[in-house]
Formats: sequence, structure tokens, C-alpha cells
Amino acid sequence: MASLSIQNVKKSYGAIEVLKGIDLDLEDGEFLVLLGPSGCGKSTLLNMIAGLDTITDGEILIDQNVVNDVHPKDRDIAMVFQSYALYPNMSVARNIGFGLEMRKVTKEDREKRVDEAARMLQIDHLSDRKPAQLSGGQRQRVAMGRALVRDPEIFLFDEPLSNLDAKLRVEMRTEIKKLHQRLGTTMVYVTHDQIEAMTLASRIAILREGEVQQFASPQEVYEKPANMYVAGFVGSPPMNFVPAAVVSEDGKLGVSIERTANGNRSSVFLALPDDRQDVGDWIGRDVILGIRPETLTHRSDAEISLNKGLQAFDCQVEVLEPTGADTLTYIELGGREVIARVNPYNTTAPGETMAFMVDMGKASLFDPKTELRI
Amino acid sequence: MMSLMTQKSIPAKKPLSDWFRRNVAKLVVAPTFGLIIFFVYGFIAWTGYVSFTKSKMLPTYSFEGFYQYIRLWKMTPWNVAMENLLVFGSLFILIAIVLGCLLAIALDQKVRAEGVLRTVYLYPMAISFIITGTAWKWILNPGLGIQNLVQSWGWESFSFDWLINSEMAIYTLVIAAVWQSSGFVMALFLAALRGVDSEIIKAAYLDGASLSRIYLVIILPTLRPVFLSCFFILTHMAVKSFDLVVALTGGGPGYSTIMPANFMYEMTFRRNQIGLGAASAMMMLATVMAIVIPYLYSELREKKNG
Repeated sequence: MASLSIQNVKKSYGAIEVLKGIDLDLEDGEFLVLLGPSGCGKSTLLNMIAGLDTITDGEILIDQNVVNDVHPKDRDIAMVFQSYALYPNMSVARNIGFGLEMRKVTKEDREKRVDEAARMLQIDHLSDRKPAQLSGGQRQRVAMGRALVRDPEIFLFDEPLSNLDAKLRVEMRTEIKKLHQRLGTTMVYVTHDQIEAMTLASRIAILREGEVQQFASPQEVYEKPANMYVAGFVGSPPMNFVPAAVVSEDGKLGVSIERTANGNRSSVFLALPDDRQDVGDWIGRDVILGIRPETLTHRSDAEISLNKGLQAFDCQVEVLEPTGADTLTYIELGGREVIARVNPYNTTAPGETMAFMVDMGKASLFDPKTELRI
Repeated sequence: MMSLMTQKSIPAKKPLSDWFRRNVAKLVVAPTFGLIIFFVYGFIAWTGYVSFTKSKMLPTYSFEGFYQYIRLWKMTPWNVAMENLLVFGSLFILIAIVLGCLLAIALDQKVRAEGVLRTVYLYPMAISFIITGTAWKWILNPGLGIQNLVQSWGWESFSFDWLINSEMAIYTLVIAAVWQSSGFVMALFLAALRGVDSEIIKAAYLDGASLSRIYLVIILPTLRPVFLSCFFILTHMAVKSFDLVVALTGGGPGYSTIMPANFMYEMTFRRNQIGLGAASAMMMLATVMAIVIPYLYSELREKKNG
């Protein structure tokens, strides 16, 4: 187990800057997920931690030791690859034990550890098979066994689940989570799947075009996204963005939004909670209101009386998309399509007006120019 | 007749066109199939039959048993030719594969001028063996080539006369054949190396394997099919090698570098010994079969198991 520190790390290929100064600090035993779309530099960063790619500028420290010039095999890290990267001509057991074999571990010790790892991953009955004779999920387990058996300081995962089918992916995700809980080893995991990131991470670093957008716990990333990019990337269905104006009405600070109700187009005032008085400077200016679909639902007076953040308004329903547990209700606010999560028994037919409530305590405000959180 | 057929086929148009559609593949393949049956397998059978006769200038068809084979194996030139085939074949195949493989690995290390180098190494394959043989005859000729050049630089005692040395002349054939074929072997290996998942190499790096270890233990074993392809392509080149010998050594000095194909040609077309030539041709066929059949057997069996 070890801490990991990435300090102002940069990577360029010729004139193209892939990573523009990354700073991340990881405590011993943390699970870091590097999340971002393809081409954002997340895999490059992982390769640099592994030592498979050179560092143009900056430093990477494992346990307070700079490892920039340390050979990959001496960094005491293990990596699970997207393609599993199993050695095709070797049996499962030899695949798992190859790292130990190269490190001159005695045969008895090696067999014991391989056996242990194989049993932990429930692949001990496959040890004589060749990779070509395994299913995708089994290959994935072998790849993890190969990392596990080395008992490294840090585990690195490079999109390990992206080649599996949906059901298996969920299963293996839980497996990885269990593994982390049992071993408590520091892990770095690269993915473009925000659900994987949310479920696995103790902290998420969201990357975009070689820059860290936000580095925080999954809950904070979800509730307080640092900018509109993060807000739109995390969460499914994504956060709704509504153009609004900050106004003051009856001494209360709030936002004014255009919408259609009962055939008329008019503005509705939604008061902000008292702890958002810092928005006072923004009176008379445009902002973007970010609302998670689950904080926008059908009106319930009982709940409104309990939670002061809840604000009610009427709006015409455009489309309904039942998903079973909830019905995604499409409405139009401020000229933008907005999704609300409504209980299937409280929906209204499309074209008719329905009473909604929104939790302004959980809403985010963004600067429309910089797209940063206010 | 044509018009009759079309007229008749109007009511029965559908079944006919259906029949045609069902059998179009067979119809397209049939002429080639027939030609191959006749010109390849038919002539093999004919040669096989002639090898059991006492045919001289013209073929005769009275069966004489193994007379020609017994005669063949009593002839020194034939035994020399088979020995040469063994020496030349094994050295040529081994060196061409090892050299081609090493070249491919070297080129796979992201060399800058890879495109140019690849072409340079592959080009000899585009030349016929006659040209290769002639060029190497000049290079290896003691009076014209390397020996003369080195001696003209001042190393008067330098000697490189393999071409005219009956003990060593067979190795000049190996040199020329390897020069011609190793680039081709390299191309096959390079294509296969490019197909190796780069993550496997990365994984092996993290596992602590050195570059030579990665190639020896992980990558080369996965290239087994390429080794086999190269082996069989080079084997048949070795067994039927004829023009290289004609151009480079002419079978000499004496008959020290003659190959089975040269022997067969000499007997059949020059010395009016068709029966003997046929017997030697059948022996060459048997040599190829002895190598190919176990291979086919093992490959087919493996597929059944796998």
C-alpha cells in the first residue's frame, strides 16, 4: 500500500500538449477514478504512473519517492488492461504466475500464491486452460489475478470492463469494489463510464482535454459540480440546464424562468434558499440554473411544508418516457428541454399542464460565460 | 438449337434459372477443376506410371517394377544430389527463417526509415533466381568479385574461392538463396508482429520481463503459424530449386552442387532416360509429401481437438 502524488505532470507529443499540468494527491488505500471522454489524456496519465510512457514535465511520487526514472518493474505496481493482455501461449496458472517467475520467486511459493489468487477470483478450476479457451469474464478474472498475485503497492486499471457485456460488467464492478474493500490497496482506475466512476471511486478526477475539471468525492462531484462540463458528464439522465435571470421579489432572492402553462407563456419566480444570498451580486444578470432530474418532480404540498427549498410551479408536459420506476417527463423551461423524474401514478398526459416542484436547495447556478459554478 | 432451347425454356424458365442459381458456383469452378485434375494430378499419375517402365527417349508402357528406382539409387550423381538437397535445404531454411525473424524484430522497434528498409529487404524476392544466380556468380568469382576486390586493397593472401571449391560450392547456393528469401520471411514475420497486441508487451514489461525475454517467451511462441508457413514455403523452394543452380554453379565443379531437379532435367530431356527422370521426379514428390503429410495430419487433428 502506498500514497500516490502527481505534481504538475505534463505530457506533449511534439507540439501537441496532451496533459496540461495535472495535480492529484492520493492517500494510502484510496480508490481514484480518472473519468473523461476518449482522448482526454486519462489513459496517458495512467501509463505514466505505470512507467510505460515518459513524463515531459512534473513529478510522480509513490510513497514520497519520485519514480519518474524508475523502471516499470521496479515501481511495485500492477496493471489490468482493457484487452486483458493475457499471454496467449501460456496456461492460466502461468499467466498469473509470470510476474513472480520473472521476479525469481521460488516455485513452491509461486504455486501457493497463484493458487490463492485463483481461488479468490473463482478461476482455480481453469488453471490449465489457455486464454483462447476462456470467456470474456474469465479472461478478465485472469487479468485481475495476474495483478493480484503480485501484491503490489498500487493497482492500475485501464478501462477493464469495457469489453464485457452489460450484465457481466455490473458483476465485475462489484467484484472490483469488494476486492478494494478486502485488500485496502491504493487503486487508480480509468474509465469513460460515469456510473463505474460513481460506484467505485473514493475520489473522482474528471479530465477534459488534458486538464482536471474537478477532483472530489463522487457525492460532491454529483451535488456540487465545479462547472457545467462536469455537471453534464456525471449523472444519467444528465443535469438539466435552464437559462434564467437572477431577480429579487418581495425581498427574496430567486431566479425567473420562462415557461408555458395553461396555454400562456409567462415567467415564474423560484426563490433561492437563504444560504444562497451570495448570489446577490448577480441581480439582473443571466445565469444557468442546473437541476438534477430527480429534484424536479410532481407537486406535493406535504413535502413543500417540510422542506423550505422546494418551490412549486406549473408547466405544460411535452413527452412522457416511462422507465418503470419513474416516468421521465419532458417539459420546456427557458427555451430548453428539461427532464423531470415523476412517479408513474402522478403523470399528466402530454399537452396538458401539470404542477411541479423543484428543490432549489439542491440546484446549481452557473456563469453562462465561464460555465463555472457560482 | 439455341433458339429451340430458349423457346422451350420460356414456360420452364423458373426451374432452369433456379437450377442455374443453385449451381453457379460449381459451374464457375468446374473448368479450373478439370484442368487441374488433368494437368497436375493426371500428369503426376502419368509420371508415376512411366517411372515403372524402361522408357528411354520415348515413353513405353510395359511395366518393369522398381527397375528405374534401383538404378537411380545406385547412381552417384543422384546420391550427391540428395545429399546436396539435405545440406542446402536445412541450411537455407534455418538461416532464412532466423535472419528474416531477426530482421522483422529489428524493424518492429519503430525504426525511422522502416518503409525504405522494408522495401530494400523485400526487393530480392522480385528478382528471378536466374538473375540472383548470375549476380552472385560475379560477386563470388575469385577473379572478378570479393576476392579480387580485397586483394586489390592490398590483402594479397586473401582467398574466397568457395564457388570453384567442390567442397564449399554448395554453400554459395545457400548464400544466394538466403539473400533472396530472407526479406520475404521478414515481411511475413513483420506482418504477424504488427498483429501482436501492444498491451501484451506492456503487461510483460510490468511483470518484469526483459525485451529478449518478451520476444522469446511470449511473442515468438504465438507466431507458430508463421514459422510453419515460412518452413513450408522455403521447403518447396529448396526441393524444386533448379534455376539458381543452373545460373550460379551450373551444378559444378563437376557435379558437386547438382540438385534433384537438375538431375531430373538432365536425365529426362538431355540424356533420353525418361524412365529414370520420372523415377527421380517421383522421389522428389515423395520428399515433399514426407514433410507435408505429417503437417496436414497434425493441423487437421488439432482443429478437431481445439
